[in-house]
Amino acid sequence: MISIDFLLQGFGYALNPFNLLMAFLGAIFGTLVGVLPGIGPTAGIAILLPLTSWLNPTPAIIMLSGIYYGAMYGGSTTSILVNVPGEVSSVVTALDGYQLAKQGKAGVALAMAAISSFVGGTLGLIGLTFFAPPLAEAALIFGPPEYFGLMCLALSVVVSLAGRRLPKGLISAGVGLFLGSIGQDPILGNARFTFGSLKLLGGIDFVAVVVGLFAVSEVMINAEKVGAVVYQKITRLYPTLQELRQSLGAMLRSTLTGFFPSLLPGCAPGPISFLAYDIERRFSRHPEMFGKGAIEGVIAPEGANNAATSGGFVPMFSLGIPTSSALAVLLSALMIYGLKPGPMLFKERPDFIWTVIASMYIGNVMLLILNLPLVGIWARIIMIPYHYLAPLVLVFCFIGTFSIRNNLFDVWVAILFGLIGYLMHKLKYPTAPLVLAMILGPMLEQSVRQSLTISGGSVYIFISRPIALGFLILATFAVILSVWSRLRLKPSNLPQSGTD
Amino acid sequence: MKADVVAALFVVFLGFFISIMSISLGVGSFERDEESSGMFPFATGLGLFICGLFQALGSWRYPDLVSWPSCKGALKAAELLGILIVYVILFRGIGYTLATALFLLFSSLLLGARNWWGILSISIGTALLCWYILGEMLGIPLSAGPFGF
Repeated sequence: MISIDFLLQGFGYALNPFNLLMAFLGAIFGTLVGVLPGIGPTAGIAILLPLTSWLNPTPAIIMLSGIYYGAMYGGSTTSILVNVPGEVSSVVTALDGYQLAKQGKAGVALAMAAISSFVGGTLGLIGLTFFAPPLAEAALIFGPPEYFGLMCLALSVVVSLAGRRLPKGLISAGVGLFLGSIGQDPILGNARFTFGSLKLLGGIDFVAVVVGLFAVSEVMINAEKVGAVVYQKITRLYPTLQELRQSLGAMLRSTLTGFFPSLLPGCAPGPISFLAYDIERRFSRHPEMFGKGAIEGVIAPEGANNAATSGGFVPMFSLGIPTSSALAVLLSALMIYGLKPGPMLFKERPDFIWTVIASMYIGNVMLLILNLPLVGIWARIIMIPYHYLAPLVLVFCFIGTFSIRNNLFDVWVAILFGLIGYLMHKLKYPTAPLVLAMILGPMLEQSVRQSLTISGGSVYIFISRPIALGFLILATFAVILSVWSRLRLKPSNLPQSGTD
Repeated sequence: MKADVVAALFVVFLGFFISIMSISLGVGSFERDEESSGMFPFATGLGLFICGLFQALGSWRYPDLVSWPSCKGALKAAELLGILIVYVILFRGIGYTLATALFLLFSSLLLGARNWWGILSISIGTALLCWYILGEMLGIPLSAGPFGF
């Protein structure tokens, strides 16, 4: 009941014209990011994050969140019409979506994808509304040992983000932990790894690293492979009532499949969309139609990835754990604005948190409108030649990184990490664990040092506190489960580099 | 030597370097209530050293090694990066607007654009629009250069 009261207040703020505009811009940019192949939600948020620095935290996070869930809508458009998935979670949508388009049913496939995305996203938000506050309430009793356990659980995501290559994922995370320790020691204030540079004393700017790793490197990688696309015409757009009724079961199943796994670390929308497709095929009366143009093959991944997107906000807002790389960047955005994600956020800034959640409900409605009648416009955006788009992206990266502190040093950092990201991609090192570890590293260090100071140097403190022990057991279980499922699956079925 | 092995050996070196640097910061001892700044980075460096060794041995043993990037693709990426570096260098010297227009012009040409009307209109239009929105409206202190824009 309290959640509903807060949510209604949040709607009051979210319906403010400026917040509405930000939600709308987030939906537009998100759809654009989803439509354009090669620029995923992580890169999209990274590019626009510095440009939002002039905004207040609430409208900025409303817009950046809009990019994340908007990308899930946009990704399906190009998957269906041109067989080019805009981002990872739409890869599986292309299997049946493009087949339907070739059969002259592109309009129905697009409409069903949008409606399923709306249902999945909105039901996921209802889950967020009711699950996040009690989780945050329970986390209020946490002390440094419990936070240490929580950070270990969050870092266990590295195993699933590592994709096929666990040692490489661990190396990537190690580099992230090292980067996070550059600058002033959080407790004693000593300079570490600054080599006498005053610019490094405040640490390496996180936004510059993210822009370099995800945006600059992405442009460099895509510059190597520019190809032509074949575009399918859009026919009848709106589905009949009977078609909608027949699809309702698939929509609800995919929402459940998407929402609950997304509460666990490492379950990003990409892999979840594959899981939902597989479950729907098992439930179907005509499994042989999957891959040849089954409408459920479009509904399931789209509903699931949107429900997972909403669900991912539950651990992020209530515990400060990002479950995917895009949420890790969003988490860093919250920290840049001086907001510490975690249990205290619900207590200290309920106005902020509930306005953002309310804006997501509104954003989902905006996205449904943007993605139904205007779908043809989005589809044509893919026709923008990459030789114009790539330089524009780089200009925005440059100006965005520069504008944070009006400092060219940050731009050089972004370029350096662009090169590092490119080399990591070529050498098949996942980049997401680096980002996650860079965010969590300082918090992990602080909690472990505070805990050991409390206990006088005894590590027994981590196992003598039941909640800390519970998190450590969960983290161990998550790692074992990820490694075990990796050993069971064929290498071809594992994501290349996790959930980048 | 395969790229994977070289990368893993670099990680070994990095881990070793971080560990040595951390020792100079002081690793400390909680038993004696001596807290030091190097403890956490030392553990990170040691972890990187071990993971790097593990990866290097794995890359040596198994045949599915990652090869070096193809020359043609890598060259295009390197050229793009080179243009970006020149752009940042020119930023202070000739001003944001002119540097941006030149960057867009040359990078579009590098990536295969051949329609001069399109290239010029996008380069000049974007540079001017960015200067107006970011510099004039949002107040970001963009470098003005000798021509005042």
